[in-house]
Amino acid sequence: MSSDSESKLPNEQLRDIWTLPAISAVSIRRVRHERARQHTIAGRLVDFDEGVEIIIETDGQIPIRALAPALHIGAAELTESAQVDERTHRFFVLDESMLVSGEQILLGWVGHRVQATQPGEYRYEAPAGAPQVARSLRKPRNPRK
Amino acid sequence: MEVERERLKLKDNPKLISPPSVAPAWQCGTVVLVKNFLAFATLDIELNGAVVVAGFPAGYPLPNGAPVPLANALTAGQKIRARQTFGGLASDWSAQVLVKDHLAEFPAGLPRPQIDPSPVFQCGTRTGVANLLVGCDVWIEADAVQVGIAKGAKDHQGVNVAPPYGLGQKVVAHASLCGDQSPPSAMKVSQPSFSPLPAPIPGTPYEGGTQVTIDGVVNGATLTLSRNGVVQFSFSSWGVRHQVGLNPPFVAGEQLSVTQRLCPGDPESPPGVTVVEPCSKVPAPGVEPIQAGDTSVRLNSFVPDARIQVYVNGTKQGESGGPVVGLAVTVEGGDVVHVLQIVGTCVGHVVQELTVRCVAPPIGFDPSGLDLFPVGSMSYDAGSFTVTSGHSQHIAGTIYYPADADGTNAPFNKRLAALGRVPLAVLVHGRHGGSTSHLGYDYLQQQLASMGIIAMSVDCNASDAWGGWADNIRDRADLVIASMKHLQTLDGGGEAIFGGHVDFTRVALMGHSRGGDAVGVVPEIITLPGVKILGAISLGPVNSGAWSTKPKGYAYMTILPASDGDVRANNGAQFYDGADASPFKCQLYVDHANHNFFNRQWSNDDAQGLLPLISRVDHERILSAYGCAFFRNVLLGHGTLGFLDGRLRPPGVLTTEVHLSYKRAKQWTIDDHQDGNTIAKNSLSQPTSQSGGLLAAEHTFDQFAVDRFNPSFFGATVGMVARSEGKAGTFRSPFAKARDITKSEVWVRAAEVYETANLAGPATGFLLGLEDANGAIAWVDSEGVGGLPRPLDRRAFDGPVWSDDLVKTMPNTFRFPSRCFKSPPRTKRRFDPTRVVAVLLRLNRPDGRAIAFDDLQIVKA
Repeated sequence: MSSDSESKLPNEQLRDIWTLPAISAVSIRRVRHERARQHTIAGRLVDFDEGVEIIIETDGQIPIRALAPALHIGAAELTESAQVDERTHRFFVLDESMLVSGEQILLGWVGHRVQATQPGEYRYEAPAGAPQVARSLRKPRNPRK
Repeated sequence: MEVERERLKLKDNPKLISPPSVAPAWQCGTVVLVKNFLAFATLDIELNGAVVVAGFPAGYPLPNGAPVPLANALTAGQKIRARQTFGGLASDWSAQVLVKDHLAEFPAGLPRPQIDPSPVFQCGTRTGVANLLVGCDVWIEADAVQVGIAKGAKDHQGVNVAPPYGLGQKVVAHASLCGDQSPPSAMKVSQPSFSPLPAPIPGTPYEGGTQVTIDGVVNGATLTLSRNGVVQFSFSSWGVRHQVGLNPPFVAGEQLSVTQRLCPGDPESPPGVTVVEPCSKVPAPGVEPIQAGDTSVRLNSFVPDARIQVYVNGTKQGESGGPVVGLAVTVEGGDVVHVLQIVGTCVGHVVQELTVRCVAPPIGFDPSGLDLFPVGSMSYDAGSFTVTSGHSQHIAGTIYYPADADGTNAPFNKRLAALGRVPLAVLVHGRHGGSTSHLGYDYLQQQLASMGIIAMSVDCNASDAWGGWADNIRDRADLVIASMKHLQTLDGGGEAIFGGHVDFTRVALMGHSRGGDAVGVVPEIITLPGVKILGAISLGPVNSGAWSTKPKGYAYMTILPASDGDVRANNGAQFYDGADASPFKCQLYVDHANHNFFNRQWSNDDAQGLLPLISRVDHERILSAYGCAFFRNVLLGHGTLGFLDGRLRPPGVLTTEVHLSYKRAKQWTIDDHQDGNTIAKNSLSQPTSQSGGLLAAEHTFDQFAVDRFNPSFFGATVGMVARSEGKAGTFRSPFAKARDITKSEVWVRAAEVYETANLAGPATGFLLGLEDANGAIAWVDSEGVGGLPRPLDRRAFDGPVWSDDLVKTMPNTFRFPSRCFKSPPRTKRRFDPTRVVAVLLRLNRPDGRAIAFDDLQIVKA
């Protein structure tokens, strides 16, 4: 006589929507847009002919939920992004003046305190002024503790 | 509270019995349905002042009243009254009911019948049909062959079925009145019989009674009832609950047993057995809360054939059968009401005691239950569209609409269309991933369509993967507008279903999560010609900064799940505070509700099982009831605002979990604290004062504001926080001149301020007083108008997951009707409500807790 054993289905009921993956790579570049890119800021559409983009790679998927992932860099919170693929997101800097070179880049949720003890350590460095010049940051070999 | 009858000195008035009530009556009907009479009373019916039926034996008031046959069909405009006679005493005549032409109330024809309960079963021999106009004819077809009919129906009518249903038959109910035939009911397919059926569950009968309630009845089953082992009779039932009468009256210790089966030859179910209890066990009836101004009491549990007696301040003021007993007086706040039941000659030893509250909203009709039309549905895909962010998605979604028959792509309802264009509700889901989020509100879409609203749900699923925050909200708004434009194309292009049928001047929106933010964007950016947005609902919305966050020029409602594990900040409170209340705004703060369970496609609990929640069904009931109340008022002009401002409670909804804020246009604001004139002056520029140890100050009710009281506030307004060192701390807000408030109510938003140390213990409260020109003050306690709820403790989620504490101070609106303000006893100066000069707030509790106040207004009653 054959017998079956339990075959559990994924427990959607307890899906974790808060835990974020770790950043595994960061690149920062200044981009000039052929056609002005539009972002919604304080209820208005604003055209950007160029801008700084911070591209992050993560070691897993960012949960899809109501709140948006955000990059926290010092006091700045970057909330606008485009998903390149499941583990790559392009964050748009809408106000460069808020960013200070040398500040740590942390991944969090919009409007929420971010954990400062994320693995790896990536820091913001303002890209050179010329458009379409990308400057990459790779994971440092000896991250500061 | 139950009390011993013998401890009370209740004064009977043996000459008083209450009038019964008459159900709505319709032209061409040949019966008058009378309810709320004494079991075995006789009924008289008066038509236009002449008694046309005398001494009709009424039988039992439960389950559905007595249909009294008439010699002639009713005509519109006739006036009906009824009275009952019992034990030689005649009641007064009932309130008058005006006979209506059903086409005046339902211009598109009779409501569609509902087979209720369902499903029906093979071998079933009786079927219940609901949603009927009293006096209509109702019949049932199985596979298009008539198998049962009842003429002169009640509002919920049983129809005997012969031959019994076969397996897999398509069962449909129809109704007609005045030669006008209803749309068909939703079709039910008869399900396989099964055997043995579960044992029925008879209720407890009492000595002297003659009627017993049987629960657990299978739809269409044949039941056999035995008394002391002797079979009495068999009967068929539409199921769930059945009330059956027996004679002679029950004797204590007798045994009743009931079995049931579906198909002849099937074995009987196990018996359900009950024993007749003696007089001494007759319980107190259950009674709904009573509020000042009521002229009747409503029972929620009672022996079905009991005489119900109601005493007000010790004197009998009403006696009849349940569930509603009319009173000879209008009750006032503070009156003490005792309700007892008498079964046969057994007088209940325990009595239900209630104190009349200033405000205790009654249960009204079901705002989601207006079932008029069959529902058609269709999916649309209008091709690719590029949104602001540059991404592309198909313009797609689903539409439910009033139709001639249920089903996909069914023709639009011709009778409704002939009356004019039909309004539109547009639903927008949030970001959850997958491809089916737009399907998660199908239950609401069906309800809206069945009442005559086209309900479109826009597919934004692809945008979930685009990323973005405010940009994504803008994209969703683009998709909403693109879908509306597509529908305009169908409407204007003569498309088969929608051509010429959509009224774009009556549009309302409902968005959930990110969709709740997007519905704020749409009115600010839409440029489609001919579109007028009359209202918007934001359910658990985020606030991305994609719009002004100040809903303006349309009705606005937000629903905030207090146990939201995703949008933890309940950002919709900011939208409520920003809305201009033109014509009104409303906020539902729902305890024990999470973010996801309003959408049927979102199966996970975002609070991760860490917080106690109401069921998914209860989430849906809240959205259905309050959402339909909103859409019906805004799009159809129906009188459903009472559910949104707290004057009525929708049935079948956990209203104790729902805390309402409400504000309407053109009312008289005493102080909204928005004037920047400091706490020392109110919005009337009159000088306020603080006394008796009160400390009050204005604060921004915003978690991050510099001048916040503490971080438990999540709105976007300025209000007042007060605390008192003693029981006499009072804040006085005067008017410029005396004001007559006899036809008004005082409204104020208030909340207990959350402070961690105070989370244990009972609720706090306050007094609201009115001071007249002579200095007399009348007070009403917040307990009498619903009471301040405790802050909803959600630390079990926020602590482990976030190491923070987002328990909120969330004000809701309290109504203080002017009739509740009475002169205190033993005072020389009588309070004069025609010359009120100030409103006072007194923090009189010894707990010393802080209370937040905002929007102190005088509102027309």
